[in-house]
Amino acid sequence: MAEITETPEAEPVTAASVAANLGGVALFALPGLGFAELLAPLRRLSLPRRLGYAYLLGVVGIGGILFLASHLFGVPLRRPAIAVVAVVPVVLGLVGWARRRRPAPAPHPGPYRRRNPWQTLAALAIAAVCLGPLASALAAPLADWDGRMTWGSLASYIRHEGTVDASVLRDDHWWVIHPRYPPLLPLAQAVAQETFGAGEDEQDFRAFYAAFLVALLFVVLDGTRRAAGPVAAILTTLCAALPPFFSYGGGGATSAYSDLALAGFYGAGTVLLLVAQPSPASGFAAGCLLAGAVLTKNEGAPLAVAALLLAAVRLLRRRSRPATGSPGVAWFGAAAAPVLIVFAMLASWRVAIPNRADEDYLGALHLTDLFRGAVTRLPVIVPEALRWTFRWSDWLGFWILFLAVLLAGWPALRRPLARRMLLAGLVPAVIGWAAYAVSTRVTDLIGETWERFLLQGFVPLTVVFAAALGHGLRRMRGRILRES
Amino acid sequence: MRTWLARGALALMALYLLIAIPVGLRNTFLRLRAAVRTAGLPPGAVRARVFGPAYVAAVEQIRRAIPEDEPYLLSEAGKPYLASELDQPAAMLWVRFDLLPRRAMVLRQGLPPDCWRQQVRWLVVATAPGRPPVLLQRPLTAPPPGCPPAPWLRSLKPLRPSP
Repeated sequence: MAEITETPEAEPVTAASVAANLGGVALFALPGLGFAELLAPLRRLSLPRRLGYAYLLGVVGIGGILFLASHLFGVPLRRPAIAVVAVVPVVLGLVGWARRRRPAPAPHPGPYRRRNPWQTLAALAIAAVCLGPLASALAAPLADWDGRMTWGSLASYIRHEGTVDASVLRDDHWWVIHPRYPPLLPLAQAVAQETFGAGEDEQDFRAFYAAFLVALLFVVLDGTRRAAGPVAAILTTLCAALPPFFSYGGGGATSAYSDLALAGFYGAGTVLLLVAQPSPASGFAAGCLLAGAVLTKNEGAPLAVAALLLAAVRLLRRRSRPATGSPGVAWFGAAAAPVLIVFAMLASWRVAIPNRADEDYLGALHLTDLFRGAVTRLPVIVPEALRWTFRWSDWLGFWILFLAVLLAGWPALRRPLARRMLLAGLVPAVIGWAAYAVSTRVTDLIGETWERFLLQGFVPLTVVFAAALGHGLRRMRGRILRES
Repeated sequence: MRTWLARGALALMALYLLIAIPVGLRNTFLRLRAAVRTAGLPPGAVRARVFGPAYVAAVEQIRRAIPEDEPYLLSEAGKPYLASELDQPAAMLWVRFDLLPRRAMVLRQGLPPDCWRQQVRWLVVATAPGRPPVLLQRPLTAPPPGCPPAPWLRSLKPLRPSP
């Protein structure tokens, strides 16, 4: 064996690395803003409320189009293709914006509305908290297991070969963990790395993952604003930003896990599908985001199906009591179509990849074992799940607050919107429960995954929280007014 | 009753914010301070601070020896064969990431003879997560009878026949 020699020194690249990282975020955010400009329900939102959807739509749009181009047409995943796919939606968005611009109306005098200083302080606190994971992601190399074992490895293979149909995946000679896992995030990571010419140890994708936390919080702001008004929305978003798990936990913003992205896609999809005023455009946007969930993680498929089932219930309920703005079949079809297309794409991509180094839960699942285990293992599952739910270092008591607010504002749960979102928020927990019912190592699995299931259902649960909080605030305001 | 519940919930929220906001700001301060300390350092130096200079140097040596398009055998110290498909030793996973995009091949008991496995030149032995891996070069001979030469060997000089 040769002697171990000194590591060759490279030029300091910190400033360039920070710029490349932020460029990686812009690579998806700017096209996403272009997509949002083309969809009226998103176009009408204020910029903060639109940004979350824009980033998520950018990732699923750019990633989805490149996935199709690579898998169906063999287009190399190199700068020319990336440039075309990224620039076109930006141009379309700019053209759309320019065409819709009207001369500014003459200003008319109205009551002066001072900006609420508490809302500004809350926004500053949220920004300061989000700065922490961003700084950590930029300053330290990737050191989480799932990122190194699965997602980062897949991204490296895709980038090296310039295709999602990498030979290393299709040939079972090579040791690849979970080769059939949905490839959206590794693909997007590879695209960011390729665009900015990242070297071997230059991890110019870290901000790309951290930005999902910011996008998630913007979606929380929008969803809670729709359900409960501005005061409840900003309070809920502030409370939602603070649990350390979202920033620094396994699956959080400093990792390269896919759970934060899944939470964003699923949460944004449920807000647009189950809360927003139904229209074909909002349905299509929701469908694209749910398609992103399917392409992000295995759990995304049942989550997308659950969201569409809840939308179907909404459709049937409103059609029995038609009113202005009732959801129609076109709305539901626009939501379902992208999800179905992505199911087909993913199946087509997987068929050439021999599965290996994968637990294959579905393949080993027997329904009788599932139902039996779901009941008989409750004495093990419940205490362990509660232990992780109320883990102080990860949550700082957030879920205690959640239960207290729900209890205080429980009449809000009479609203169909709140009930739909509560069900949507509990779906990931049900998926986890099913996995624990059949696993051969229940306690370990709960420890590894339960908090991430809480993360996945977080956005719908914050909408329920805000609805209950809004109810409580209105009661108190009413009492104060009566007493005065 | 309900008003008292609402007041109690709001008081709990105030308490939560009083605790969680300073914790969040402190976490941000600590990360910013750590980022400032590594500002200007090249990626290798940052990795050495996190993973240890010996580990980083060993990985660099392996990267220089094994071209990106050439595979290597990967095993764990004291355990040359994996027991099953779900056997995923931490040390091997850790090293494999740092050698990407090079393809890794692992040995499992009971595998039939394979044309390609016998033509892999390099063996990387992972010792423990964060501990320096060891690189060994395997003697290279002509392809086994009935096997074509592996694609990664086509650029190399003609091989000597097997004894």
